[in-house]
Amino acid sequence: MKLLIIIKKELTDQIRDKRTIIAAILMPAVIVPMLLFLTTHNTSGEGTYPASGVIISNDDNGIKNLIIKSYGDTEFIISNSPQEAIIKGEADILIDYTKSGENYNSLTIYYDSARSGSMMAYLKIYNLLKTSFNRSEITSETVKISSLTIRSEKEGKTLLTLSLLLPVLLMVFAASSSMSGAVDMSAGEKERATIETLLSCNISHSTIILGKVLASSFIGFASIVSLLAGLVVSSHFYPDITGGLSLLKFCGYKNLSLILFTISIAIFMFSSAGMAIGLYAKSIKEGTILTLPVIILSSALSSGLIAADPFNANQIYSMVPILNISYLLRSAVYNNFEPVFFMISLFTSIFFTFIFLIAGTLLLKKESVIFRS
Amino acid sequence: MITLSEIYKSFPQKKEMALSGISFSISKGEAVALVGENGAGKTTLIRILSLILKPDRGFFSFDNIKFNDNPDYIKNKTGTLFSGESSLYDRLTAEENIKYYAQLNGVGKNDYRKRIEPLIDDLSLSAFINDRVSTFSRGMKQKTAIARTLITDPDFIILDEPSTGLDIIAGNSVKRIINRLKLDGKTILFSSHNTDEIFACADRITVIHKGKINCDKTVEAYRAGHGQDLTVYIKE
Repeated sequence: MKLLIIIKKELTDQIRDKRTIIAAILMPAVIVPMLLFLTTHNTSGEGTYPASGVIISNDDNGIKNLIIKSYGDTEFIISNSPQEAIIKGEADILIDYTKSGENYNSLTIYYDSARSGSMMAYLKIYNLLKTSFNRSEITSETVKISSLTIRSEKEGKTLLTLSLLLPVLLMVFAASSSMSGAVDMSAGEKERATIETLLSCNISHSTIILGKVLASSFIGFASIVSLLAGLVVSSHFYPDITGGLSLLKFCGYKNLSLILFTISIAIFMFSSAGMAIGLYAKSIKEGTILTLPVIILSSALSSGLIAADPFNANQIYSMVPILNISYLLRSAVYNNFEPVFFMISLFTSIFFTFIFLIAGTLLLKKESVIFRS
Repeated sequence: MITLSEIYKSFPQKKEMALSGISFSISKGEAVALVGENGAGKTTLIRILSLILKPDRGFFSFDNIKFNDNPDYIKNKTGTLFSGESSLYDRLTAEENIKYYAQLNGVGKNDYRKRIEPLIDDLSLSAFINDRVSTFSRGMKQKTAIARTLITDPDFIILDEPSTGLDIIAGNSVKRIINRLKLDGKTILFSSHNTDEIFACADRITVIHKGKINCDKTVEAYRAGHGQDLTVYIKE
């Protein structure tokens, strides 16, 4: 009963704070989709790649005709310094070759790995040339040339966008919203000098900690629901922000529920960590500064898995907090679920949450920490 | 009756003892004024009596029950007004602050309803009881904090500088409340720097200086010896 009283009070207190509403609800629900819209509406759309420029050494007609057959809207550029043109973004790829009579000896495609446009153009042209040369179709004008991929272009782009963005956004918002709430509920009690009155009440320290952690977890959960709802709604009306397909269409209810459940585990852990940090800190400002490394770590660990294979997990990841949840989120985007990895990750996160809860309870009992000036 | 016996307290960061052998008692229906300069040890003693800090040595008991034998009993019987600028939740209303404290201390709905109305009248809270604390003056905050302390109907009441920030009318209300609580048989310990308040409400004056009790006399005995000069035992 007293646990519910604490949860209710903390939620009322937090909801009335404009900063919490902006940072935890408005920002993920509105500002993130808006940012995605602004960053994608000029670059996305079908047929964009490879439209912005292909340079072919000596303007070779054989290769040029091959590309035109597959991608009619391709722009061919003639440049005296082709590699520099790619670096400057004037062209996407350069196709260089050696030839003996009518036969090609070797082909080299130059592209800029730091640019998604160049990467996409490279992938398309590479697949096209590889398919054509393997079938000796380059010199044939009669055989239809086509390249096949296992996913549609929209699907591929959506998967790439979501697998890059979603784990990072989810982890950063889960960490920042739940920990800022927890810090306000703990260091804020010290700053407002309400902690003495709270501690003089007939209520156990563990109930106080658990009530506050559950309340801050609720804030974190609301933030994540806002983020996902914002993305679902905005990508429904403007699918380009998620790569071409709407979030709900691509992931479906099942995967979105799995994502929500998985991130909830992290939210509870972040709240517990934020509570322990906030109780140690003298003020909200100090607590916020102390939580920054955790937020940065969440961002770094979740984005650090971009190159990892979502279908072949390194089991060590499952025992590293944050990293394990990030991997599970990314796997869920790829419609993959590994029960063993999930269970180990769940137990690891619960273990660390438990450690943080104990640390919080001990800190609340420690006079030198609670009344340090 | 509350009895303090040889209470010692030190803090790791300070060389001197914060409290050094504090012993005195307060009877039922008696109000004791705790007097002393800043840093004398008043707040430390109040925190110990509120079970927020633990003494290094010594004990205190209420109704002959030692604090460490049944801390829940002591907490249920004690109501503390802590000093400070606010000690209230700014984003909650005055009533939400009072109700939260009442609920955490197990005050039922019926008891709450019975107690809140007289407190609202006594402290003139009705004009702002449903307003958020963030909009309050210091006096309004102090009145709300006093109401919160008394909502549990505690038998042992600790008031740390209760009239700080209050205007003359509200200050008089506090004096009236303390005297009425005495008549109701409550045991009261209050700290104050306000001479009028001390001599209007206290039955005894206990002067604490550098963690030790320098004087523990009835108001009459004190007045007979030193008039209303409260600095006599602080200077020594």
